[in-house]
Amino acid sequence: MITDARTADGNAVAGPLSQIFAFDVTRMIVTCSACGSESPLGALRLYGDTMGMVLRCVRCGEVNLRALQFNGIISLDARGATRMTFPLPANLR
Amino acid sequence: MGIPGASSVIPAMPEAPAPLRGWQLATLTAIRDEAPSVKTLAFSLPQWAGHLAGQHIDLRLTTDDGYQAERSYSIASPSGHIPLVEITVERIADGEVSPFLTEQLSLGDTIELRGPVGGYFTWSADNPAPLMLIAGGSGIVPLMSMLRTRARAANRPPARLLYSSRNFEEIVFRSELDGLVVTQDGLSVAHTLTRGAPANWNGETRRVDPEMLAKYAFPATQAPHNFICGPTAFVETVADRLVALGHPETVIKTERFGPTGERA
Repeated sequence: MITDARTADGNAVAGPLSQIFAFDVTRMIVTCSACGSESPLGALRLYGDTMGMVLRCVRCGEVNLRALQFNGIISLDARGATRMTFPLPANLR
Repeated sequence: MGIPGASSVIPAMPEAPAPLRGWQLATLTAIRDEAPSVKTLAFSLPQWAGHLAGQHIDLRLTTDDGYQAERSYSIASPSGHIPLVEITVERIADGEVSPFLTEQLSLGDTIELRGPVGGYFTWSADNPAPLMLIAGGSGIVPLMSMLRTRARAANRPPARLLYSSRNFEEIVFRSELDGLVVTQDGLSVAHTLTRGAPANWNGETRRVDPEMLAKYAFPATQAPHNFICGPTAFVETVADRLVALGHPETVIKTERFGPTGERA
C-alpha cells in the first residue's frame, strides 16, 4: 500500500542512499539518457516505495534510476542516466 | 545537453550537515493538533547534528512479524542543532503509517528515525534572495520550517507565502502564520481556498492560476528563490507557470507529495 500522502519525488531516496553514499544524492544532477534534460535527483518523479524505487525524468518519463533495497543490500540501476554531476561540498573542493 | 562541470542547472543550495548514518531511537515527547486530522509530533533524539529548513527525516516501523515500512517526512521545526525534531503529519484514512503515527503512538513511545536527509529542497537564512513559498495542502510543512527559521534569523530576506487549502478549517498553522505576519518583518501571506470559503473570507477562492501568481509571487526581475511543495499535479502546474513568468528553473525548487506514481 502506498496510500499515505508522502514524498513523491527524488527527495525520498535521500535516506536510503545516505547509507551508501558519502554525499547527499538529492543534489546530484542527472542527465536523462532519452531526452538529455538535466535535473537535480531530488526533483525526479518517484514511483514505487522504499523497497523498489524508480525515478523518472520529469520531462519525458524515461526511467533514469532504479534503487532496490532488500535482504540487506541496495542495488542501483542507472542505465537511464548518461551522466551524474555532483556539486562538491565546500570542504572537498 | 549541458557541458560536464559547467551545467547551468546546478541550483544554489546551502551546505547540508553531514547526515547521521543509520537509525536511532527517537522518543515522542509532544503531540499538538494543528487541523482536523493533522498533528505535529515532536521527537527527542540521542544525537542530532542539526538540520536545514526543508530537510527530511525517515521513520521506520517494524511489526511483530518483521515487516517494515519506511516513510520520509519533512521536518517542520526550524533549522538548528537542538536534538528535538518536529514533523507534522496528515492522517490518511487508508494509509499504512500515518494512522499509526497520529492515533496509536503515545507520549514516551520510541520509533526508529534516520536523518536529517536531503539537501536539494533546502533553504538557509544566509540566502539574501527574496523567498517565495507556494504550498498546496500539507505541502506547507517544509515551507513552515523555512518561515520559522527565517523568523529566528538576524537578517531576513523579504518573503511571501501563497498557500492553497481546500477549506478554511484545513489551513495548517493558520494562527501561527497570522502571528508571523503581524510582526511586519517583510513576510506576507496570501491564502486561497479551493472548495468553499466562510462568508467573511477576504482571501482568494480558486486554484493557483497565472493571475494569482502574477499578483502574489515576486516578479522574476527580483530574482527570488521559489519553493513549491504540495501534491504532484499542483507542484508541476505551478512550476510550469513560474517558468512561463520568466523564472529560471534553477531557482524553482519542487517537492511533491502524494501517492507515488499517480497524478493527484
